Amino acid sequence: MRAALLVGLATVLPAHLTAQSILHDETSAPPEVAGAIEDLVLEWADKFNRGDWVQIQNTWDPDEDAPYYLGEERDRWIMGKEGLYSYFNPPGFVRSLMESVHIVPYRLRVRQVSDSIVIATWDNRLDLKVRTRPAINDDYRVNAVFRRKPEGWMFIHYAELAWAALTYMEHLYRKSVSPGFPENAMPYDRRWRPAREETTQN
Amino acid sequence: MGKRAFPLLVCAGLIVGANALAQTAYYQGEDREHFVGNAGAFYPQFDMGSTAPPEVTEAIESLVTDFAGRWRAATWTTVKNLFNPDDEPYVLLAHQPDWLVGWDELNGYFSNKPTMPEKSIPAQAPPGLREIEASHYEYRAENELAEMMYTPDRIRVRMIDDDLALAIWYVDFQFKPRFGSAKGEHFKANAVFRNTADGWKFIHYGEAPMSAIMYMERLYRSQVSQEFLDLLADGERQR
Repeated sequence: MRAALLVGLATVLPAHLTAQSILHDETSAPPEVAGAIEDLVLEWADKFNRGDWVQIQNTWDPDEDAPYYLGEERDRWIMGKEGLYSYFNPPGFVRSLMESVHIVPYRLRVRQVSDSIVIATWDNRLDLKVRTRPAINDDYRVNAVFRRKPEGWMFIHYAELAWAALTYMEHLYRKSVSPGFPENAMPYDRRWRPAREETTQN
Repeated sequence: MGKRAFPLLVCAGLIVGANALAQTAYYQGEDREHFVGNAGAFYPQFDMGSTAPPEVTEAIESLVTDFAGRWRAATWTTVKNLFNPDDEPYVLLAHQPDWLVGWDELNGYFSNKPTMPEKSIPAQAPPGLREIEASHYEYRAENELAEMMYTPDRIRVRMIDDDLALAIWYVDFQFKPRFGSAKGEHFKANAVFRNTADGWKFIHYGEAPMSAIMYMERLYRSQVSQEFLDLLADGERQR
């Protein structure tokens, strides 16, 4: 009996841990709406991770004539159904370049701004492996707008908001500071003045 | 040829000439786009314009223009006045690692001495996120901006509900800290607006800069010479 319980716990616990909510405390939408958007965002990431690009497009409202989309790799907005279709049905050689994608959404905030419209923001932690290139990782913010449909909530707007290059570079530079610095370094004498200035003053 | 026909002919000639010049410039642009365009240049570009009713488009364009005009050293703190006081505002600026959420954070930021919001950064966030955010606020406090300029371009507006509109646009942003050199950057922006008794107001605003890796690539691409483009085009023609 005890063994059976342990086995049961061992199977239930990991599932429970991986199912931890990604909702942020600042979520203000009713729990059932926030829960539905959380499920959709996780489903969306899962489809991306499986390379199921056509199914990703199916999470969008088919009745929306003017969807907007911005991927962080893009420097222009994608607009309209035709634009969205071409983005999620890229040329074969583009698909063949992609080896693996792993997106983990976190810090999801959901707020309802009308009966049928929700705005959500979250962060994506992206690991990406493209053929002939080493694997890379990136974190970026996302904001998206969803519409309530009879079949559930659906995307009508999506934009990835990358870190600005300077902020990102600063992040990299800060990460490579030697351990213990500046506490273990000789502090500069702040009373020091250039020789020329001293000469001028004399 | 009659006296009336001659000016008409001259006008037609000028129009055809101007059109030919415009076409030439377009194809030169296409050529550059073809060889050094942004990643994903193989996707066709679609600009469907604004789909909101003209009066809504006009009102939102006017609001965004007002918003842009306030991004000056002397008036930037008044940007918050364009948000609907009855909504919980969300703002993400290009240099910020996390969203400003709610009026306390918005009022704290859009002030002469910006204060950093007190919020948790979860373990999954990249290391150093909070430190970068803190340093940004320290920087703003110690190194005030001498001037800045926000120029919106190609504003596209659509309705998403009876009293809600969504807009996207492109931004040319120039700024100069009091101690530091002038800088400029391009980013994209998106916002959601609510139609209130006082007119259209912001309820959500986010800026999307180019990611660091794309930015570096663009720097390299910008240095491709016309001579090299010609060489590439010649090679393609010969194949």
